[in-house]
Parts: sequence; C-alpha cells; structure tokens
Amino acid sequence: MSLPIFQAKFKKTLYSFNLELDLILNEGETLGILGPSGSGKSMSLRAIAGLIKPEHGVISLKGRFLFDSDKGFDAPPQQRRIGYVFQHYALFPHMTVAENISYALARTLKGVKRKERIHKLLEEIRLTEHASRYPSQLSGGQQQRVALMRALAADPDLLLLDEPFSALDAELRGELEALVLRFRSSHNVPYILVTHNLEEAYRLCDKLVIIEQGKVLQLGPKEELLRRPQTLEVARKVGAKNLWEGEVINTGTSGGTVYVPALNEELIIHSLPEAAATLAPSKVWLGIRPVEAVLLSGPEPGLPNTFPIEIINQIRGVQSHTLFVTPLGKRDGEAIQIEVPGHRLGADPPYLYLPPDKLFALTH
Amino acid sequence: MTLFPLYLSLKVAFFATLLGLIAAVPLAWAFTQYHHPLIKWFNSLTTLPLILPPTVLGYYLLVLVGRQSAIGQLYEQLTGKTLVFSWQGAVLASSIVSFPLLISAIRNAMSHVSPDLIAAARLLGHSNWHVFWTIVLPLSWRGIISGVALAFARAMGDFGATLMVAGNIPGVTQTMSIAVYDAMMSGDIVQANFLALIMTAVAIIVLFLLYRLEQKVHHEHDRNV
Repeated sequence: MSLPIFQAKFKKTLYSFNLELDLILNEGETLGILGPSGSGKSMSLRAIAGLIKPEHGVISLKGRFLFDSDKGFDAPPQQRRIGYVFQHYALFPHMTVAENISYALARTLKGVKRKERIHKLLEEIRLTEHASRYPSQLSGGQQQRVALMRALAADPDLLLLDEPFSALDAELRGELEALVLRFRSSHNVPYILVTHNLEEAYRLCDKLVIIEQGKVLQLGPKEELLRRPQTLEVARKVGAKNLWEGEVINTGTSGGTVYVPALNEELIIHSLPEAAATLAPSKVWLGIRPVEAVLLSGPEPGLPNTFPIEIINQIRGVQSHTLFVTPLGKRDGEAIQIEVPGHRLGADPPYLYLPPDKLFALTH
Repeated sequence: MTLFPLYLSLKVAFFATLLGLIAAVPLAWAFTQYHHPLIKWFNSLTTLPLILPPTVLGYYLLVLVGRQSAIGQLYEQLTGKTLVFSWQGAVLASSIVSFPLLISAIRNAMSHVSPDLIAAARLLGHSNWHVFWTIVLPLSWRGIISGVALAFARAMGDFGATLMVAGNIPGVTQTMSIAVYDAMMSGDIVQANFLALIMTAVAIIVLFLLYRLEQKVHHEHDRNV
C-alpha cells in the first residue's frame, strides 16, 4: 500500500456554486480531473497552487502543509513547489525560449551551470535551435513544450496541467501526450491533469475524478470508473451510452440475472452492487459501453447474453464504426449503440453479445 | 526675448513627471491587484484633477501647502523656504494636474499583463517584488512611456494650477504658458508667438512619439496573434 503524497480537502465559494474537493494522490500516481467547462476543475488547480484561497480545508504535499484553514496557514505560491502548465502556455513574451527556462532555474543555479542545464533541457524538448527565439515566433506545440519544460525545470513536487492541449490540434496532442508520459518517467513527478476529454485523461492518468458543479461525483482508478460507475451521471460521463432499467430476478455469489424489459432479455451479470444483490428482487440500471458490446455474425450455442439484432443506423468513422442496433423485431425501441472496428455482415441476422463481465449495474 | 520660461517649463515638467511617476507606478499596480471597495474609490479619485478646473485645484493646493498649513510650515522649517511662489510649488501643482493622465495610462497597461504570467512567475518561486520588476514592468513599459509623454506635455502646458500656487514671478516661477499670457497682455506679440510656437512643437513631438508607440504595439500584437 503506497502512501498518499498529496491530499486536498477544501471548500471554496465560487460565483455560481461551491467547490468541494476531496482528492488523494498516492506515490507514483497521476490523476485526471474530468468535467465540463465551468465545473470548477481549473479553480481546483488554482486553489492547489495557492492562486486562490479556499475558505476551509487542508492541502498537503509530500508531508508539507500548503494550506490549513484551522491553523490559518496559507503558503504563498512561491513556496509550494508546484509546477503549473497553463492552457495558453503563459510563456513570458518578452523573454526568449532560453530566458523563459532560465527564469525557472534562476533561484537554484548560477552562471555556467545554469547555461548547461538550459541547454540540456532544451535538447530534451528538441528546441536548442530555437533557444534565442521569442515565444511568438514558435508554433503552438513548440510553445507548450517550452511551457512544460519550464514548469519541470524548477523541479516541482507536483505538476498541475490545466487543459494543456486544448488549444492544439489533434496531431500535436498526441506528440505532447507522449512528452508528458516521457517526463513522468524521466523526471519522476506526479501530476494532476485537468481536461474535459475522457480519452486524454484516460491515456495520461492512473486515477480519474469526475466533477460537476464543484462536487466530486466519483474518484477512483480509471478502469474502475469505466467499468464500475457508481451513478448514472458518472456512467454517462465515461461514455456508457447504453443504459437500461432492469429488475434483478436472482442473485449468485457476486453476480446475478437481470431482466431488461427494453430488450426483453434476461442478462447475466458477473457483479452486482451490494445493495442490489441483497435486496433482490430490486430495480437496477444496467449499462455497457459501446466498445464492450460484441457483434457476432451468427448465434453461438452456450454463450449467454446473446440475441439477434438488426442494424438501424450506422456512422462510419476512420478508426471504427458506430452502429445503432435494436433486438430483431423491435425497431421502435431505443437503439443500442455499439462501436466496432469494422464489420462484414452475412445473410443471416447478426447477433449481439453483451459480455457478463463488461456489464455494470447501478442502484441510483 | 528670454528663454528662461522654456528652461523653467522643461525643468518643472521633468520633476513633475518624475514625482508623478514615483507615485503612479506603485499606485497603478495596487489598483490592478486589490479590489477592496476603498481602493476602487481611491482609484476613481485619481481622475479628479482631470475634471476639476485647474484654478480650483490650485486653490485647494494653496490651502493645503500654503504658509498657514501644516505641510507648508513643515516644508518651511525643513528647507527655510516656502513651497508657494517657488518653482517647487509649480512642480507640485503641475504634477497633480498631470497625474490622471499618467496613472490611467500605467494602470491600463498593467491591467493588460495577463494574470497567468504573474501566476506562472510566482509559481516558479520568484518573490512578488522580483515578479513586478521582471514581468510586470517590462510588459507595461509602453503604457508607462505613453503616460509619461502625455503627463510631461500636460505638466509643461499647465497654467491655472501653477499660477495659483507658484504665481507669476518672471525669472522665478514664470513658466511658458504663463509667459505666453504675460507677453500677450503686455503686447509683446513676438515673444508670445515664439513661446506659442515652441509649445506647439513640444505637443507635436509628444503626439508623434505616442503614434510611434501605438504602431509598435499593433505590430507586436499582430506578431503574437
């Protein structure tokens, strides 16, 4: 069991809602804060960095208190040892690339040593040739590389990334994501990423926290959030497009069988929330993410949760296709959304398989 | 014809602008950083000299720093001279008259320094004082220069407040604009023309400087976009 290196539990009254955050980060972990714009995610980072002051709470990092309202302690941003990467880079426009990096080193290194360090850091982001250029002469991707390096150069205990890629186009995002992951191992610094992009948060972080209107909806390892969302809201936010009301008709050691009227199917599920398992028969919500549903070309004997379907609509994408299907003969029902890498259909109706270990159930 | 009024005006405007600058830079910074209602109110108050008639302003100053006032007496004890009817009095008067132009230009420039840049600098461990010198001032220098240019021109051209506080003593407190008036009244058209021409030239130089600054700002803005 690893120890928490970062803890933040605080309240802050904002203009339109109250921010109530409760986060824990263990040694070697990275966290993604996921939420729509205006949900309080950037404000959370600002409070952690000491740029805004919560009314109440405690923030600690690597055994140091950064903020403690009971003791009236509030460390200024200068003393927090926190690196911050802003959405719009926040490079100093009147300083060259090298000077921007140098600004982060000025308090720790002098003279030749500083120069050598700057050179080494610029090499790391492949910008040595741009050392004497001004930020305005760089592309967006190059600017964000400098901003990342500048934040890391000061050797922070925690890095905060505030939607760092949202101003970049898709191609550069991938490149920057790779850089962040490389920094994670080479500089060994934990980070908190704020984004509204599930894919990005999933790719870069171990843990995810979903916030809405300043409140934490769910915090946990990313796989758990995807596979075991605790509420409908979270389920929708992690992309579980298929949600049905159902009734638990029997329970086993951990899972059970759920009848779903919308599909007219009895579905086997491997794990049920405790509340649903003990109170059977009870109402539950059953869900599955579009990528977890499996399209079969025909029936497979012995496989549970399999039924014939018809495809009523499809959207073809570059990487995968989105299919909207309904159980055979139930065209007027709500469509099931599935994501397949590409499909070829025979003459027989296709079958849909909803793997029992991929289905999740919610009680609220 | 004497050049003393020109020399005096330049001297008075120089010290008036300097005095204003020393007060305006920290005040402008405070106005952009703190949003306490009292500070906001004080911020609005700095525009007052622009709206009050210069003679009224001069009258208040006379009451405030005259020989009967506490400030005036303290000054007299320290220097052995009176503040009123001296060139230093003219500096004070024109400094206050030109102050709104100076502070509004600087405040405007400083409020355009992105809070993210200041936050970034502080998070890199630099003291607020260091951040002010290395980030805030360099990024608002154009605003400061344009404020200085405007304030200098305004200070140089002041008539009402300066006349009230420093009087019209030829060779001592008779600045350009007062000398123009004086020459006019005594029928010395040549002197009046000459002085008016110089004043106009200074005004045009200031305008040209401001124009160049603005062009440069636009140019850099385009580059940043």
